Amino acid sequence: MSDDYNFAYLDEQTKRMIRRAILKALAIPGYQVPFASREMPMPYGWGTGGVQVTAATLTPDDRLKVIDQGADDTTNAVSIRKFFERTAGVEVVTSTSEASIIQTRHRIPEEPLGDDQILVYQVPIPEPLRFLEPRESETRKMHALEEYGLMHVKLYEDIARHGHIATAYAYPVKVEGRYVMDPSPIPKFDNPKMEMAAIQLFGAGREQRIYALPPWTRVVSLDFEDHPFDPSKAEHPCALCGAEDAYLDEVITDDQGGRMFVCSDTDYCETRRANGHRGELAEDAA
Amino acid sequence: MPLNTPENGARRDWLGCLARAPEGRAAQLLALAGLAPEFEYLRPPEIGSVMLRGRMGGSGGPFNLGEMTVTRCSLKLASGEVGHGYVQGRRRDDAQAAALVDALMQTGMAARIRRDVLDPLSADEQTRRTARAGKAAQTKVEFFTMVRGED
Amino acid sequence: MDDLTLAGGFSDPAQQSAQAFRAVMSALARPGRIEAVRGAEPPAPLSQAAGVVLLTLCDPETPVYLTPSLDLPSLRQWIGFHAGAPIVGADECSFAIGPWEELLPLDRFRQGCSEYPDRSATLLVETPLLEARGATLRGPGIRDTAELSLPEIAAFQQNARVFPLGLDFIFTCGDRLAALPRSTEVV
Repeated sequence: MSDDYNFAYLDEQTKRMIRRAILKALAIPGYQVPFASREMPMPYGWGTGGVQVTAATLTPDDRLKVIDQGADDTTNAVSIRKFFERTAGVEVVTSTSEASIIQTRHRIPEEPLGDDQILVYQVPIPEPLRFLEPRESETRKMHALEEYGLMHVKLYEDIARHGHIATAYAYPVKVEGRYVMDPSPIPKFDNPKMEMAAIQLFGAGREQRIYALPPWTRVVSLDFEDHPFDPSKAEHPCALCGAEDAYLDEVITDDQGGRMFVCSDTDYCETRRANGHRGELAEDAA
Repeated sequence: MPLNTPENGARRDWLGCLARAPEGRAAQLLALAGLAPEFEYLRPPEIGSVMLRGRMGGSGGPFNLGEMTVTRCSLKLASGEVGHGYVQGRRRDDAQAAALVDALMQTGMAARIRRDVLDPLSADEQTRRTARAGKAAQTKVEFFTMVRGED
Repeated sequence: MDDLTLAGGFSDPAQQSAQAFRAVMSALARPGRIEAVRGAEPPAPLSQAAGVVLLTLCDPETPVYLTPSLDLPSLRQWIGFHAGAPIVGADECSFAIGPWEELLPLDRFRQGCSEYPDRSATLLVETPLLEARGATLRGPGIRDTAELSLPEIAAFQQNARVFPLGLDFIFTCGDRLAALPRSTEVV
């Protein structure tokens, strides 16, 4: 750990400001609390919001896991883990069950989280209504008046055009019957998992917003009676571990149209394989 | 509490002198003077930032120039005097040395501290300023007009 | 200046405030849960838990209101030195500290506005008794129901009724604390 930085990089006053925002966010689930996002030593879009929330939440005793689209070993995840190893000296892990804080980009781990864990999301666009109404002053008024008709019109237009709701990720949810919230670009397959035992914190660095879900908060994906929400995924088992219940990535294997489906959650897949589960393409060298 | 008393003015001067001292210098002088009094932290050295403000325009309106990293420290001597130190940059040891000097200046050792620490620091500073002014003076250009050969 | 008012801050601010924040966050995210905190020794009669919360969350950007029994020179100095928070009246504060009877009436405090419900006060209620027994709580952060000893019930029901506006409460007792955000329904 480098001694030249304050613990977890940010100075204390910045952390206090972020911590106050987190507490207000937990008190008003689903509401986006503005905060004075800082310049971080990484570009916007690389998780600066999540990193600031993690930095304000981290204690020296934590075990940190960082995933990017479910994977522990991509550039983004590795560099954020290194960042906190250096500036906070915390232990980093890849196992979901061993982690006390998990920072994630675009996935919720397959393994259910416990009530001593915290899930921190990196959020690009926190405002679910932004693509329908570009003006912040207007979307703020829509949230204040609980005026979410536009969102339902958008979902209805999907049905009119495609026969089903075509939104597959960042699928909007309603929190405790009040605020419509963007769950960050997680696949809609993950939406039902959001009613969980862990605390969920969302940080958007460029857009300067923090929002949160306390444990067991009611999170309902928007839908219609005749077109109920469908948390679907690719209809395949994982080619490596054979999991039927995990979200899958499609991997193109050649230029002849060959492809395979594998778990996007690398830790889940590895744990299953270590326990002897095998998919159809697994190399049985073990 | 009146801020512009003579005592506060003197204290401001020595705190300013300590804040401008180069890295490690105040601690070094303190060690040379053989002073290592016992103390306890009220606020251990911590790094943060302050907003620098400047003035500009015809009316001198203030504006935010930018943030600067500072380190600060507060401590209390065993004899009860409280000292504060603020220095530029990430310099925990210097902030602590500045706070120590500030506290010691309120004790009977003030004259000794003045002689062994503060005077050398101001002398350093004076030398630095003179050297810099000298360097700047060398670049001075005297403009004059040659005879333009109009005869 | 009395030096007692300068002592009693965090000895390792970064780590102690991180640990204290986690306790406060855990309490607020799970209403009814009681957490212990340590690290600050504020002047009497402020409780240790209230002192820790102050040092963890307050700074020059958060005006603090002290109720009459806490509005003492020693406390003003301690807060001024360690947190740098300005002491103001009830209607402008971000944080208010005091026993329940002195915090009433609650409509003096900022409740937020419908576009910015987060611009509301957080009340630190000093209580002589804090236990996970008493009023039944329901809402976000609670799986089925939880229980917490509350000074009264009607005020919190009224506070929950104006959601998403309203106040958030942190109850402090000795070195322990619990919280009741505006989203919690008191049955």
